[in-house]
Amino acid sequence: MPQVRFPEQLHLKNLLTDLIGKDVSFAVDVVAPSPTDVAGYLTMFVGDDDAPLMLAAGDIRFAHLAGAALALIPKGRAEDAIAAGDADPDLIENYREVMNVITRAVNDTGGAHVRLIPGSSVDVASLGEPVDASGLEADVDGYGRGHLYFWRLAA
Amino acid sequence: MSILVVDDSSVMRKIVIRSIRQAGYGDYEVEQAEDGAEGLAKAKANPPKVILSDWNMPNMSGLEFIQALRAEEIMIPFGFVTSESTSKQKVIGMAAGASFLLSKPFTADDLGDQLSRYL
Repeated sequence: MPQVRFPEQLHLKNLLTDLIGKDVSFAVDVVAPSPTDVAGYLTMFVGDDDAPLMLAAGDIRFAHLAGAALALIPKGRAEDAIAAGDADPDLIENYREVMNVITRAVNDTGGAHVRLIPGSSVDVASLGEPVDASGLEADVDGYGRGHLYFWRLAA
Repeated sequence: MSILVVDDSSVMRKIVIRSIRQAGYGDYEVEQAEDGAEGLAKAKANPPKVILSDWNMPNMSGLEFIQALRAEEIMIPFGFVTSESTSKQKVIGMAAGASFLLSKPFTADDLGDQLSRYL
């Protein structure tokens, strides 16, 4: 069975730009924190046998900004939620759809086929230490910048 | 005359509905459901001309949804609108009776090309 692979930056850019309708660029690699320490919203991808293969998270900024941009919600609403440190449920729901589309970017690498667990809450502590990690700075045109992280898990 | 849009994401349902209108099918009524189980109930109660369904959903997936429809010999044209894009998933979806699989993200033209075959 092939290993799961990190999505390619150019493919992520193209997919999210098409989805959101605004340019989304990934310009800078950043150091990913531990998934237990990330201040953001975790998503788990599992293989066809339901084994956890990868974690991903948008930080609070990316989640709110991408969630707002997807539904053409003014960025001020996202910025208010970010400043207050309170999750905006509508924007976070929209962000979940962004992550759903990122599933395609993972699968299009030709690595292991994964699917996102709908509405899952991730028990990170039970998954062990990731094998490796990838951190990206995303810039959603007209909305702003945030971080997107991926962690590969031991098969 | 209606189109049934099934997706657990409310924003994606809105995007699909907006794309239906942009593709020139704004005269059709659009029914919505949050998962396959609700979609199945709505399709049986008020059969639409076309069903557009996500694949991965809680309660009843899109695949289980079309399998349930076909098991009851309900042959409404059914298209997956999903982030699933691999050839394997397409084969599984078509084998279950789907008419097409449209990968997210998609354009209104992409959707219109598919709808024009059934509307």
